Amino acid sequence: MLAWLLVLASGILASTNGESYHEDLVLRPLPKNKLLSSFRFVAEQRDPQLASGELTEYTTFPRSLGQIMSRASTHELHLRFSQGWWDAESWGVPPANGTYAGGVGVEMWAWVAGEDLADAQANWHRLAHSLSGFFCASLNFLDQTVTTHLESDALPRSGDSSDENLYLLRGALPAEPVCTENLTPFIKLLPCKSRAGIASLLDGHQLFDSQWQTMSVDVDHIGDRLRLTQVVSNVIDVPHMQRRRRDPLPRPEPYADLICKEREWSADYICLPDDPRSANWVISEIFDKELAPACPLAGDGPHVFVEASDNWTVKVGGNVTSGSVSFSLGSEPVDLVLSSEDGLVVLENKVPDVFVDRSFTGYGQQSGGLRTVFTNPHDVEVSLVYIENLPWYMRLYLHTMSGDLDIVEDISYTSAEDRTRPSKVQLHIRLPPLSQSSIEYKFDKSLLYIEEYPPDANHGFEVPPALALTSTGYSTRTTSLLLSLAVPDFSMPYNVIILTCTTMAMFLGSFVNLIVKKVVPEPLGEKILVESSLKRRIQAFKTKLIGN
Amino acid sequence: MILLVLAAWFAILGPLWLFTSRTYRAPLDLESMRYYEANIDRMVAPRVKVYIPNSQQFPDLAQAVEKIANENLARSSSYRLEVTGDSSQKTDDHITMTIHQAKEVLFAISDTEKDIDMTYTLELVDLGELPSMVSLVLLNHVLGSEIAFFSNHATLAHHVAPYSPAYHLTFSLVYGGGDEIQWDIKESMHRFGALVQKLDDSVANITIDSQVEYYAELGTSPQNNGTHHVLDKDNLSTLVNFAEWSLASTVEYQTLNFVLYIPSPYQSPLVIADSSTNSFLIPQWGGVTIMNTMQHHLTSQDLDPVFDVFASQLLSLLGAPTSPSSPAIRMDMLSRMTTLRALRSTAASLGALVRLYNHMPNIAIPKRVLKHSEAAIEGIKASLHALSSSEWAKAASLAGQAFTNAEQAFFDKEMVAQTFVPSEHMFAVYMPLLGPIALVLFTNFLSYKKLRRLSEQSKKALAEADALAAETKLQVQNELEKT
Repeated sequence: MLAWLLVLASGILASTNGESYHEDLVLRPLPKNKLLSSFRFVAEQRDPQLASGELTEYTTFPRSLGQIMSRASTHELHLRFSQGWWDAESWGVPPANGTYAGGVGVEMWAWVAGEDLADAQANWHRLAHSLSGFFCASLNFLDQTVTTHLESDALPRSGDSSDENLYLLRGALPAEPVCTENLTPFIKLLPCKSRAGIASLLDGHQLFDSQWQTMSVDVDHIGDRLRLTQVVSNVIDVPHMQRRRRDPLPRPEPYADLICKEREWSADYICLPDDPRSANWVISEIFDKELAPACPLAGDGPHVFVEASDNWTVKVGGNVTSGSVSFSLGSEPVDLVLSSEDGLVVLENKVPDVFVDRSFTGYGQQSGGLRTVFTNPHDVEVSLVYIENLPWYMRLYLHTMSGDLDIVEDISYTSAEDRTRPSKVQLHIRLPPLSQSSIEYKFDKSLLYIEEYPPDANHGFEVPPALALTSTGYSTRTTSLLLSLAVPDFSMPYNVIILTCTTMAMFLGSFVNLIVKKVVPEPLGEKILVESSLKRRIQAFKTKLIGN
Repeated sequence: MILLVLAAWFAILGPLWLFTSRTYRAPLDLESMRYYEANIDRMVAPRVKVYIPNSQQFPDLAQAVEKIANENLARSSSYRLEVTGDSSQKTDDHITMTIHQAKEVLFAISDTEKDIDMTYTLELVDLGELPSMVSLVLLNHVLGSEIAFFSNHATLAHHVAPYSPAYHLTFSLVYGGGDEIQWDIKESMHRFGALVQKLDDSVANITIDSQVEYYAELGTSPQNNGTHHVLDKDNLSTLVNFAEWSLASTVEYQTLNFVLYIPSPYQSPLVIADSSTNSFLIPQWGGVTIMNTMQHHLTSQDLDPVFDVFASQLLSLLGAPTSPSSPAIRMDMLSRMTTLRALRSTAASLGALVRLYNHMPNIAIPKRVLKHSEAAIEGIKASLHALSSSEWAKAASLAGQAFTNAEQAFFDKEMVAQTFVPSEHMFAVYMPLLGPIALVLFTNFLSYKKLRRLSEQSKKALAEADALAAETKLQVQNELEKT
């Protein structure tokens, strides 16, 4: 990721006059035949809102996004769409130290201007609604009940944070599926769309058929300049991709190709297809397309970076090199081939600063617990901020916090309010070298109103991923959790209606009976009894029939 | 007795049911809302000021023109002229009409100011027709199109954008190729800005932004005739590629789009058949101009003709009249016509709200609707007052506020969200109550009838028995007497 820093520096130099745009792609083989591809597009221009006169002039910065942000008085916007799981233990640090990686689902945070918090929240609401339509995502569900207000400097920010009227709001929708319909508006923001440059490789079928993918949109201010950074990263299982290309139907591997091993947890042999050792990865086979000619707006700088160890051969057009290489796109489409005798040997990954795992403890539908395990794999101390938003129906009890509390230096806590706001736990943690610590707290599960349950209530409720930021700039998110709440009998309201109505009808019935009933002398009563008896009636009927 | 008990039941349950199933309906001023809807055209009564300098030759000309003109106008509308000859009363709002003697009757309207020069002949004066001639010029040739609109004789062309209290203008430089292209839109804006300023002052609020789009493919394929790529009439409707070009806008009010399309070198030169300016208007949406150039930096000199086309497209989208030639008079006319459009649609919205109120008795009417509808009525009143005191800009902005309030009242979130509950749904909910009750009442009614019938029968039987007994008794007595 050193390459990115270089490009960033050159980008700033080039942008002293007017607007600038650059894009780059990093390809990096990961262990076990995985390929990490990371596309980055950075557009910059002078902030059109600052210009005098009535014209708001957009050039490289997309007008559609600028209009949404200025209408919602949003100063800085960060949006993440992610799916899958980044296997930090084997893949190391995600691109750009995890800055552009999101948690599962959709996540948004923004510095929104407002006279007070309520005003800022109204702007946030407007922002979420406009973006929801723009990105075809359910961002409009980012309402007050899932949005937390953080201190203005809780999350890293490129601009100056001196403005007092800015409120940092953050919300996440972990259940949101991320798919092609979100990618199309994302590509529309690019000046060259997907016609030229590295964006030509972006394709929904390929992008979303991956182990992990994340899409980010970041708008921030650098001085009087407005910058839009768009990043798409994904991890592709290359043999799977090649297999799909060879034969779109998934078929079992021939038995002879399976490798059988004795597993430690099982007495039996388990046979699995082996990871192919020799690699021959053709970009046009993996991405379905060749790299198109350069986007004319994107500057000269190298556009594609391949980060690989020396056992890899990289073939670009006619040039063959080994190891890491970078090159610019020309005026002709090029294909890229990554090949290696031993594809399982890749560049050593940087071990993340910290591993954070979160899970539920306890059982039953009344209460539960949250246990978070922090692991420091390095022999230096790590200090980090851990931010967790929990939905209001998890009634958190902070006094139950237990575990290795000596690692916690500071706690900032906002309790939840029913149907109004989620709870926020912000922990400042200092982890000793080579250590593993855990923190646990308990919560009660509350009951919801019947109309608050989603259509598939038994599926459970997604709890948004927690965020961990280290002082070195590494950021990571835990997985989302699935909370199962007690689910009522949904036919209950109708049952209640029926029961109430039946009771009322019963009262009325006996009442009417009482009125209608008449006291008659005994002989008359007997006569009626005889006349209305079944035998007598049958007799009468027979007489009528036979005519006797 | 039974009826009494049933009445008691209803007396208890009826109010309870009404109370629990009631929806809040704000007390709207239906009467005046209906009144404004029916009478708005009659109530819009602008007073247009004209100044005809007094001269010794014709001391009463101003009064005579006013009388004749207003008699004519009174036949079809509430539009009135206010003609003065007193130079001390003249303001900037007045249309100034100067008359000279000449050999022919002619008139000329200034290209910049609100001035009209008219000539007359001596014969005209001898016939006493001068005042009617002057009023004819004013009513038919100067203010003709406006008066026709006010008296409902003319409707606006279908390409005119719907009324909105504010308009957003988006200028897009759309380029078919991918290499960098720049335009000095800021400099060109200075020229366009004067028009925008005037519109902003007296018609509607205007906001503007601009963007550059690359790799924009046309939504249609032009015909290549060897030297040119020609677009004919059928191509134009699909020329703008709405799916691919980022033209969507998120502002709440009306957006008007102006597209400058520069074809890629492969499609250049691109021309529209039978168009001298190589441009066309998309009704209610905006205007498109095609420019064939190989330059990658468009200076304001290159852009000036394009922006002249955009300016005329903007005016025709806003429904500005095409005559007279004086832009100042036209701007006043546009302002008044816009005010009338705003008031008409405000009144129509209020009328629609009244109908909604009456047609759906179970829809909730929140307090907000009452507030907005009252504000709309106040706005109409204030705007009408401003019109009659010749304050066009104030009238337009007040009418805009009234329009916004009326829209907010009609499209209230709670009222829109209130979906119509079909009667079968209501019946389904009440069924468990009504079913058993009806059954109980019905069976009891049957048994009651039967009881009545039997008791009557038995009464009869008893009476017969009594009669028989009495007869027997009599016989027995008789026999006893005999023996």
